[in-house]
Amino acid sequence: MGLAALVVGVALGAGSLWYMLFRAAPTPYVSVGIWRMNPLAGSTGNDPYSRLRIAITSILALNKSETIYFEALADNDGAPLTAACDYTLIGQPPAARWWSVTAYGPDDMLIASDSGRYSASAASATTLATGEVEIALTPDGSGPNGIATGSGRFELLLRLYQPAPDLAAAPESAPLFRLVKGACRA
Amino acid sequence: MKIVKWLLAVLVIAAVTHAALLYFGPSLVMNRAMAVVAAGSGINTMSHAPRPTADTDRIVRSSPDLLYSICPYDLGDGPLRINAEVPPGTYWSMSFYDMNTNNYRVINDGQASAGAVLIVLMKAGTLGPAPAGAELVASPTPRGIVLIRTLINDERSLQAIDTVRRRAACTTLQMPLE
Repeated sequence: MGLAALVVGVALGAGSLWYMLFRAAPTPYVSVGIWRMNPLAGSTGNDPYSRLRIAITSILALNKSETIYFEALADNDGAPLTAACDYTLIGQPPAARWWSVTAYGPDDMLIASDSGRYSASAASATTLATGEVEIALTPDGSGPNGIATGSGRFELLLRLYQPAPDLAAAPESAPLFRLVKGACRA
Repeated sequence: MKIVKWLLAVLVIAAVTHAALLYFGPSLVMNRAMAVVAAGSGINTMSHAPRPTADTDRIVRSSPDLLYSICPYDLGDGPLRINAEVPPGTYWSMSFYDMNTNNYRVINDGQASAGAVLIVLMKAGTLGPAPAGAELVASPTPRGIVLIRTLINDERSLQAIDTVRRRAACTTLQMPLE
């Protein structure tokens, strides 16, 4: 009887906390196309629920005046990004002192590949005559400014270091890379 | 009557669990991060992680374009002296995190115009006069993490950037301040 109360009580306490954190007041993401940004990243939470949400979702992040992080987990139709398909990111370089796009596996770790092409950045990416940047997302990282996506699902993180003041003030209006979906394999 | 008592016990346990996880959750997350980064070099020591790759990655969402130097700190034995040189011509920042995971201070290369940084990190409420040439920073909690990010903005400069960022160090100071 006592053990049952303990188990049910702990489960209820943990479950209600999860509900409060992610359902009752979900992370207030700012969305731009496929990208979403957690405005709480790097901030100092004013209430205990915000503090815990920041700890879980964005530990050791920089505050948004220093760096803005946009993540992408799904394509334009909401389907999870997968190495079974090829994609291309295309667009003008973001307005920041420095930017990079990095692919991570579902465990949020870098994706192993023979090419070691983990990211494309302001330092490494070549631009088109239009000034736009094209980034190929393929299993082995082949293609222009290619990033290896490995096998299975992956996610992208776009880092904008010292973003332009206009972008930092209104990240929801930031012109970011568009995603174009290519061929998929069975 | 027995069922009422049982339900009351469940509610009390649920409330205590909820509150405990809410209050201690951030420090539990931070403790885990500190344990990971301190596993190699210990507390109050600056470790210079190799460039992140799929083989060396230890922290989620590390950037392969940054070099990370990290000092997990405990001010229980006294203030911490942190010194670092700023590699020229690239992005660099030193960020401070308390045990609630708050990023309570950032110093970047633009602010470190002299090309070097000297910090004395103390517990909040214990600030005294700063040693010559040092800036005092107050940590809201006695423990936390100092994380230095150095951008590899040019692969050809990697070795030079790495050499400079490895000069960063953190050491416990004895009171009165040395």
